[in-house]
Amino acid sequence: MQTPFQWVMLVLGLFLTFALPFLIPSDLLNFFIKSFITITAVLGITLLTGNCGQISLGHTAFMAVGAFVGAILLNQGIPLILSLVLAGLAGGIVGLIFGLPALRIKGFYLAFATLAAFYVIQFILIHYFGGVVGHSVPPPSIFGLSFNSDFRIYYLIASTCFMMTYFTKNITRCKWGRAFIAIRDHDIAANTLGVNVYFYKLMAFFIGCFYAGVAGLLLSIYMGWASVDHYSLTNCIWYLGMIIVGGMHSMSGAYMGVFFILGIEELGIVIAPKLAELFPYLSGSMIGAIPIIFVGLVLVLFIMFEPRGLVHRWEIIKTSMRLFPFSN
Amino acid sequence: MLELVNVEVRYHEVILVIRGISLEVQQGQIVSLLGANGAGKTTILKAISGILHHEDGKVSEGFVKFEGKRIDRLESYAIAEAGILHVMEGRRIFEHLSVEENLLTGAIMHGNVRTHSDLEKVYTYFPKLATVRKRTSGYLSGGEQQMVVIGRALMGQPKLFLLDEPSLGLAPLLIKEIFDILKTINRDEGISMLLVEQNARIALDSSNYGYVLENGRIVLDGLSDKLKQNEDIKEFYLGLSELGSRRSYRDFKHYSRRKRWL
Amino acid sequence: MGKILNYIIAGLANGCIYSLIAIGFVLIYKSSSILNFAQGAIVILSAFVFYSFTIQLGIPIVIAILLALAFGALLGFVIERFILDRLIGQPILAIIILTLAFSEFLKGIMNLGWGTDILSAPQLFPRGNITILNIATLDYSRIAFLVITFVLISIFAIFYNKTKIGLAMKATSDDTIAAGSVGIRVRRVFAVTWIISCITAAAGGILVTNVMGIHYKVAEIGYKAMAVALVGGLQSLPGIIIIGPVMGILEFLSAAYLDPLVDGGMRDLAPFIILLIVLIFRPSGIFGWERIERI
Repeated sequence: MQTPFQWVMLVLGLFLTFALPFLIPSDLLNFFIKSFITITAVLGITLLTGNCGQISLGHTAFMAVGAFVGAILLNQGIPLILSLVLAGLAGGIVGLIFGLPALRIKGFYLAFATLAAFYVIQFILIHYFGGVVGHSVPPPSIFGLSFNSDFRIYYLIASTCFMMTYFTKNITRCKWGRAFIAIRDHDIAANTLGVNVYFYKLMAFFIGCFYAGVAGLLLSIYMGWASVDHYSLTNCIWYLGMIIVGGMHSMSGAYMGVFFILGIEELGIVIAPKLAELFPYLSGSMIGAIPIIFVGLVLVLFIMFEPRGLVHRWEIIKTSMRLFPFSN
Repeated sequence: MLELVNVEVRYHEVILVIRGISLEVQQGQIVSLLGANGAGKTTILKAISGILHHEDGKVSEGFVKFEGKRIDRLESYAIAEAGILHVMEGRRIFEHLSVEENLLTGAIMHGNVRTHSDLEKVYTYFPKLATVRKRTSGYLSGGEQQMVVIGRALMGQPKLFLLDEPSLGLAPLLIKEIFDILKTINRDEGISMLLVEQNARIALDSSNYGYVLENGRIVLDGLSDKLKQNEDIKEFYLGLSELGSRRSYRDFKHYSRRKRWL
Repeated sequence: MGKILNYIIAGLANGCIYSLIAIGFVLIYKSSSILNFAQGAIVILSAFVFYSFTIQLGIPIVIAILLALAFGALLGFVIERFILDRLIGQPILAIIILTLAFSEFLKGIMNLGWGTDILSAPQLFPRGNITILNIATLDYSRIAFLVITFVLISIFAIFYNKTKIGLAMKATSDDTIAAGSVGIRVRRVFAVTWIISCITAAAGGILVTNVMGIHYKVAEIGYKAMAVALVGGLQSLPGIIIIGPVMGILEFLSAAYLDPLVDGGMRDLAPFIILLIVLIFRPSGIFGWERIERI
């Protein structure tokens, strides 16, 4: 926060967020709930992949871990906040274990190893933790106030998301954040400069997947159910796409990317029934396919034409406005 | 045959590296291009062979003509097909291919008719290569690799070689051997050559004409024999002071002769 | 004894298809350093197209096969022309996500065009099997897999090692800029690479859907082929040809013997576990060439 203008925008944003449920129709609320949950998860990706350069294709698996652990805990009556923290820890620890390959491999090999991790974790959850059927999640409560409506869940999720954003800001500003960036840019050189690359890579996985665990539990609270179906490979791809669309290296990038991509997806869901009417001879489930087609196409086009993301585009616009009339 | 007229080269649109040079290689000549590190010699060769765009560079002013036709906007393969073969700095051999396969890549663009006889010709010029023809090129010594890339260029039925520091990293005897072979190729095949070298002595000994490049500008040119006699060349590039004696900086008259060409 | 042999043969046959698909994948990587995560989607899309040609349009099988392969070639060409240009030089994350997103896009299209039920492929091979020495039974389809992949891989090997275009491909993958400077038309090489890669994907798709049915989930075979490519090390084509059958065999054996212990599902998981284990000991793959990084 550098300028007064930015402080004003921040306060305005916070105010809008908390006033939102009163301002919009209730079916739109779902979109924002989903968005804040996704932002929480994607902030983890921003740290792990955007800042530290470790490509992780298995993020939703770690979300599932957090969701299952959290669901079990909540069902045992463990308080909400503790459950959230423990869910995050569970995600983080599993992330750390499956992040061990990152110590030896990079780039494509690592991306694929995380894909393998996704399948292994999914397998374990299905076979040993009752994954396909899943667990029901009772509405949690803090100090007797029960989060049993979308309205209340929205506040829970938005607040958690902002807290995680605050943490992210602090992490990137401190020594750990700089270590992450050094590793992303050139890990061998970072090593020679005294950065303990092994430690920070593992920490990046731990922190990134902590976020995933928390987001996973939030999702299952919202859904009322924890099941592996909610945590798909497609979403893993979308999350990485979101940081590219938004801009890889910043939190505003995460926010922009999430809203943009989820917006496109929502657009797809809304348009699908209308398209189904127009083209009745196309078999298959429009509702399932159209959003995926839209988002996939948008991602492909974005990477082809603006790989630095919306943040970059926004910087260019701001700069050319500042330089007016000298900009081209 | 090859003409550069008022050529300017920029990288990333803003970094001016070659500041308006004109040079010429006539049919059958060996022309050397001398200069210290960073003068821009390699950039000129890249401008001629069309590979600047891989590094976000381009010829922003002036033009390059080969046999009367402009080539500065062509793709690198088209320039190779026209007869200009660039033997790049650092050898750029195809490491995982064998020696013979490397040589054969040079012939891909021309088809099959003369390939076999071309191959035999290369082995005649470089007998050492015939002994290692099946070996993986990445494992060869520097000198052998240099022979492979020159041979590969020969397979392309060239009219003009662009040679970028062929002596780099080679032992003196090997340098002499390779340059003798280059002179023979020039004489027997009629292939013209533009030779970029830091080793000014061997370059001037092997060439007919020379240009001296400093900071992106040509500062001196002339027949190689004349250049060899030039006092400044002798001092800056050949390491000879006035009487070949050691100089004491106490005797040194600082401004008796200009140290910069500008 | 007989049962093990059956598993081995079945795994061998499947593994050969993995090799076929993996070859296309490795070719693209070697020539343009791009990882085509969409390979699996292309495999299945070609199978769907083949299905449409035969079952829905009634075209005779042989012609339909050729048409499906031509479709693959066309797809490869289109990808190279329109998408490849923009990908060169981009950070690896962008490339990975682009191909992944493209893969999802294709899966969505398949969902839309052909629905979510499993379609059965037209019968290509006679049903039934032969018995060897009273120990093992070989399905005709499995024999066909072995023979066809052997033939295709051999054709490819001859092409790659004995023709000028093959030599140009090898040179381009070693040093793209040097290749351009000796007169090789690098764009053409890329186009050929993608076309071959998609043709092998199409062939693999037609074969594999014969036993597995046609469904967009089968696209995950692309990931298995990638696992084969990685275990083999992304550099060595002969290595890939060996690793494919090996992985196939291991996959079937683990399904046979470990499934009862873990309640099923090992077959899809086995390649990934094998990959993780191999990467611990040989991070560049078994036949991979070690990279030397200079700071």
